[in-house]
Amino acid sequence: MKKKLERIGGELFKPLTAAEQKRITAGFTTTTATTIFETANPNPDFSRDGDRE
Amino acid sequence: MSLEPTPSRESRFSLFACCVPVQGARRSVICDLQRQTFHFIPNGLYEILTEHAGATVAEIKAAYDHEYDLEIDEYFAFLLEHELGFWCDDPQRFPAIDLTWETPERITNAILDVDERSDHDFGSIFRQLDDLGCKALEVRCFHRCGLEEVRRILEAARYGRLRSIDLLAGHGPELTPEALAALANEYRRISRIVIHSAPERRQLPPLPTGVTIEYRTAAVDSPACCGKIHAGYFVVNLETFAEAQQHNSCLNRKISIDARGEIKNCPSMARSFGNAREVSLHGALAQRDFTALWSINKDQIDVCKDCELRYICTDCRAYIRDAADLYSKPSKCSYDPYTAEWTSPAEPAGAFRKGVSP
Repeated sequence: MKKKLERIGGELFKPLTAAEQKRITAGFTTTTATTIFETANPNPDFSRDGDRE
Repeated sequence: MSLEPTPSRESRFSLFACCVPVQGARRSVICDLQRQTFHFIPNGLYEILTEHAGATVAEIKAAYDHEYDLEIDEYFAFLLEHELGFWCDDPQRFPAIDLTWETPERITNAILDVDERSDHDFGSIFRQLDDLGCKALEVRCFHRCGLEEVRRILEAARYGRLRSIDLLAGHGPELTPEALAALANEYRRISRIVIHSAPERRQLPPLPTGVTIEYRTAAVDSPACCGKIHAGYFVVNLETFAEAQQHNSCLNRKISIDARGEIKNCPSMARSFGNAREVSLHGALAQRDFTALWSINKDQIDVCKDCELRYICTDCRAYIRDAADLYSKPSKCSYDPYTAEWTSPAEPAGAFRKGVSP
């Protein structure tokens, strides 16, 4: 099925502004920290890691 | 070959080989790998460039029953304006670029975390990284540093093979712009210096050698600062784009040593492959699971596989939406490829990206 051809001047296709691409830093938080688990070993040894020596 | 806006009747449009279209759910992009930029395009134009590649404009317009003649003319004007392609009579003579990715180094990039309790043997770590062929290192000091401490780390890398060192350090009174500039001049492997926890935000003009020095007020006091997906971290170049076709754009060929000396894929991950005081980096790398995450590419990751930005995105496998699903989207990405919207436009970027300098 052919796609509907949108106008390329539309809002969706505007380049990112410099501000949108600027590297910024703020509000670091650990609340979203979810840790990855290995699949090959279902019971990995977590007794030694960066937080628990 | 012609860049004329009005083609002859039989002319066919060909993208430059370095301009690669990538389709997303709501829109597509053309990645200009030579100019290191990208352009958003409608999915309809992606369809024209791929399914109708090699067709004349007349054939394309006819294929759409002349319902979109104006839009099609605009598309080609756009492509020519941004120098993304050209008219020619024989597009088959301009093959697609080879996106095979290979590297002789076993490790290409590394992260080394340091805090006030760290007890790293920097000389030993850097020698091992040299042996593995590592090119880029990111040193993240989470604490407030003195000049002597920073110098001690850099001195250990002075005669090694590293090509670039990105340095992140907590603000200390000795880390003045003049002192940092002198440091960057003395240790030419430094490519970037970021000072966190600074009293005020400040971006210094790049040094003549290209080194950038930046002061930020936010504290970067743990690995949790990392993993944010932001447009400012997209990497648009042939090497990264090609690597991302088959490999994870963050973890591939990466090794990390956290502040306690634990060797990991990424300091934010829990899994340790041994402590650098007891296990060599080679030994950790040789463990069966170490490279398991390297091959998770963006085409395999939920949501990301529908994102037009997937081959220029840095990804993150440490902070993901579903900890039980290795293939879930990075939790710190607020972009929705199905609506092409950032749900949080001011989403802050992490302090550093993958340890390869721009």
